[in-house]
Amino acid sequence: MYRQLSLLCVVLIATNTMCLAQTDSELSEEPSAAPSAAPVADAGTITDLEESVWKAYKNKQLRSFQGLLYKTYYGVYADGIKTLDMEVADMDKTNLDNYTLTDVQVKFPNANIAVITYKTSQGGTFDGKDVSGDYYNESVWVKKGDRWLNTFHTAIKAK
Amino acid sequence: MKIQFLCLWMAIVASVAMCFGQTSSTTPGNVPANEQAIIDLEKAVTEAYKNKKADVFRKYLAKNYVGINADGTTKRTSEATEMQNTDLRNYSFTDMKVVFPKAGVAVVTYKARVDSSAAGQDTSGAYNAASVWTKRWGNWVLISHAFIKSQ
Repeated sequence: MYRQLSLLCVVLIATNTMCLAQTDSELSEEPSAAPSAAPVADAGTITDLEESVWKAYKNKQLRSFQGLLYKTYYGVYADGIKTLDMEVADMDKTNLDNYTLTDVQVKFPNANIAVITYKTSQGGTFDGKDVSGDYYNESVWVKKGDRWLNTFHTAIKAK
Repeated sequence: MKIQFLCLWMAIVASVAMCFGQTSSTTPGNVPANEQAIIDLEKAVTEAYKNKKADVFRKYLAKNYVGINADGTTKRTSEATEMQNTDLRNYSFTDMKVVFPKAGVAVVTYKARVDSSAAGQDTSGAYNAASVWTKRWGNWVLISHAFIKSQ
């Protein structure tokens, strides 16, 4: 009987441990409600990161490109809503000949989020079709640990 | 001894029940509660826009809100002005997806179909849309919204 009792105690402890482990990690994290005391990145850092994404995309540098985007990334365009894997697949079909970024503006809603907006003039093709023109762009960067990662991007052809 | 044994069994059953209770609660459509909260906010801000409730609409937008569309970028103040010139008669959202890249940051993407006009021009059609929300002082506020006519 004592042995059964001991076994039951072990099971009980294990169950409680499982219990604690089951909490939603997203919810258990402290929400970043207030601006944190961590130093805010400057606009130049975010601009450089954004330009790195463009450079990696143009040169089809898969690892560099993937390393700058967060795993839950979404891109929203006229031709659809794209995940990171879809963006990578699109990169293969894109020939970006040239681009320039202008009117760059960066805002920090809090110390862990940066929103960058800018205009691009670009020349290139996607899947054999000409996609050259002027576009309005926006990206949202989120600080994960000590790294900034792109979590959202949109590009809209200017009227 | 039998009583102790019985008590332990009851404790195990209670622990297992607690375990199930601790997982993210889901809504009837099997959407986790935290995702449904963002979907509800997105619908609430659109409903405020549709009904031209400026005060309610502004309440959802962060002070440094940025909107983006084919005309360029918009700010909190310009969105409120545009709302007055827009007649959003009907809308529906499909394929809504919510991710939380970080605690207190939510990205929602979806396809929208709208029946609308702006400044006298028909703007009805299908759109791809996304919003980014962040939690500030316990409340979710909209920091970014993109609305793109789908091809």
